[in-house]
Amino acid sequence: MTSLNTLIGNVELKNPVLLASGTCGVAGREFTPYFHLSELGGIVSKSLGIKPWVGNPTPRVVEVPGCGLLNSIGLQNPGVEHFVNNELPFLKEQKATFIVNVVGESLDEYIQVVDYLKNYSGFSAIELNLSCPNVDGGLDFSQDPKKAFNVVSKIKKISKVPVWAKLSPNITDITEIAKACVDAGIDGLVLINTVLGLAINKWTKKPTLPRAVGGYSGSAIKPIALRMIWQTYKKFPKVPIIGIGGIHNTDDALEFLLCGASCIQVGTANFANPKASIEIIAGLKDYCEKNKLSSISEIIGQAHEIDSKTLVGSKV
Amino acid sequence: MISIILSYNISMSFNQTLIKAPLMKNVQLGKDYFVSWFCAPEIISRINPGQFVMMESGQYLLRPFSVYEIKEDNIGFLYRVIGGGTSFLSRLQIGNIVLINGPLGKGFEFPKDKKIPILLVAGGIGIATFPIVARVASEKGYKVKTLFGARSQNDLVCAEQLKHSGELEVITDDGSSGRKGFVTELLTAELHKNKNQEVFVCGPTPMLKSVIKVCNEFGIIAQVSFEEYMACGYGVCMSCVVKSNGKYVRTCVEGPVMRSDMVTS
Ligand SMILES: Cc1cc2nc3c(=O)[nH]c(=O)nc-3n(C[C@H](O)[C@H](O)[C@H](O)COP(=O)(O)OP(=O)(O)OC[C@H]3O[C@@H](n4cnc5c(N)ncnc54)[C@H](O)[C@@H]3O)c2cc1C
Ligand SMILES: Cc1cc2nc3c(=O)[nH]c(=O)nc-3n(C[C@H](O)[C@H](O)[C@H](O)COP(=O)(O)O)c2cc1C
Ligand code: FES
Repeated sequence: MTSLNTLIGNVELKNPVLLASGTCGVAGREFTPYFHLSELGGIVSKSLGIKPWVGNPTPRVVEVPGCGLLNSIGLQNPGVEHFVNNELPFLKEQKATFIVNVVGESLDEYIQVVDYLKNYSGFSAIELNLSCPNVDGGLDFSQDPKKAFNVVSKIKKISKVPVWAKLSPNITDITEIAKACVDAGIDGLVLINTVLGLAINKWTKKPTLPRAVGGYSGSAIKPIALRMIWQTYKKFPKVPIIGIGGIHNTDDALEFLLCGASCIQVGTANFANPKASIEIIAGLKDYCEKNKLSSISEIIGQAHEIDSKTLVGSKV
Repeated sequence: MISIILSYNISMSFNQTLIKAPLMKNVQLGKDYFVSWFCAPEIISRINPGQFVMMESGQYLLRPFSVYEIKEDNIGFLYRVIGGGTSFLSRLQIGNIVLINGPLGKGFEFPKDKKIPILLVAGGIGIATFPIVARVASEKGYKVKTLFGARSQNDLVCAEQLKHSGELEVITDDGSSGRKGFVTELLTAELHKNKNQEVFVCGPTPMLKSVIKVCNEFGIIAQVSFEEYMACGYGVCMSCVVKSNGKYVRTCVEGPVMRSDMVTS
């Protein structure tokens, strides 16, 4: 019997497929017409602040034909208290594995949210969104290693559950920020958030999105995510990586696992196919059976094994 | 035989399904207008008039379309070809299969009192949502009248069909059919005759705004179908919002049909 069971530090997942923050509503409720939430490896909440966030004006999304989309939602969320009262009981009832994604406008706000969550159970880990491009100052925590170290070490001190950090690709060397998080005791690195992008409306002769820039997601960013996971896994092979960026199908997911991700998150792909995640789970199971793997974890990071012998000029 | 089962959606209780449906027929209604019929009994049994679906259209994201009509096991969508997705649909061959997610959102609510007439106000392709509404309403015994504003005679699609379910008055931007002018003029005249009507509105955003303004002048709360850009259509992305009581709410879940007094933007 093949097992899709996955361990991220000491967080146990039924399989390595999660729904990504911001692409499954506040807490995944909207997927119940399509499958049972307990079938997933896990669900990551929308980024939650200490208070509700209003979000940006419309248009908030623009499609990039064939490639993905740019979004500028502005982290609209109902706040952590609303989540605890209205979504957490539902998730417990559904027996879903749940990760709470946390955001703040300042170090203090991150601490307040995690402090509030301390009194509740029903979730397996906290994912710190250090990287939202759609709010002022949102990227600070994932572009400045000192700030990243600071927020992770403070949160690690107060959180009762493992802490993951979700990093931004909008930086020259991803491993510098990764190192700061690892030094601060992080339990998992989530790679990657959206890539900064922009679109122009040729009719109005202005940027399409009201804040001009937006976060680019979908198929087009997959190679960027894979490259960053590759670099990070090389430097920190023992730190679990949660891979994300343009994953649409089983083949995409396999690439991420082989590249060094211990599990993956499905984001934008949910929009065009609410069952994308469930189809990937079935596909991974099939892959394991066909290749006679006893566990999917056998393939994690396998792409690195041949590296030094076959990759030209690779000295890492 | 035309059949419909009505099941009212309560907020956050979803009753959609995701299916792969084959194209049964593509009918061209005018230069740029088509009706595509798909076999989708699983969706048909759940529809409220005014709801929509998200449909695979050969693009990165699915596209939202109102339910236009249902006939036995087939569901039809009326659309104007304006870009890659609608052009893809118009070129589908019989038997081609697309992914359809639906029915989605909230439809129109018929008044409790059957003596209150229903007034449908359409602008442009906004008409696509009304044939099923008009038919179901008239079958239920309501008096139905449609006011339809379009650019020109060529854009007055499905007019004949609407006449089967009640009265129809048209107006065009260029005067090529009916009077020359905007649909708000017909609405003003109509409301002067009788204010006690349930008004349903669907059309482009600027038209919705002018219609709401007229309704406000008469102290009428209309049921308005909003058309915001939708990336997912089932409530997970927060792209399709309008302002309601100071908060952004999702038109794909809390709408597309919303009361005019609930929306501020
Ligand atoms: C609830 C709802 C119901 C609709 N019902 C109908 C209908 O019954 N018949 C019909 O002809 N049209 C309908 N529309 C509009 C229809 O979705 C767009 O015409 C279609 O998405 C255009 O796709 P395209 O690829 O051909 O054009 P594109 O090149 O993608 O876009 C052309 C124009 O369509 C608009 N548009 C594109 N994608 C979307 C989207 N996902 N959501 C909203 N607007 C979009 C864009 O703003 C652009 O101005 C509806 C829209 C909504 C939100
Ligand atoms: C509409 C939208 C909203 C998002 N909101 C959040 C969010 O609130 N918090 C967060 O950490 N990431 C958010 N993301 C980023 C995704 O979780 C993911 O990291 C990114 O989209 C890349 O993966 P993908 O290509 O599979 O979508 C959002 C992405 C999209 C498209
Ligand atoms: S379109 Fe995604 S929430 Fe409405």
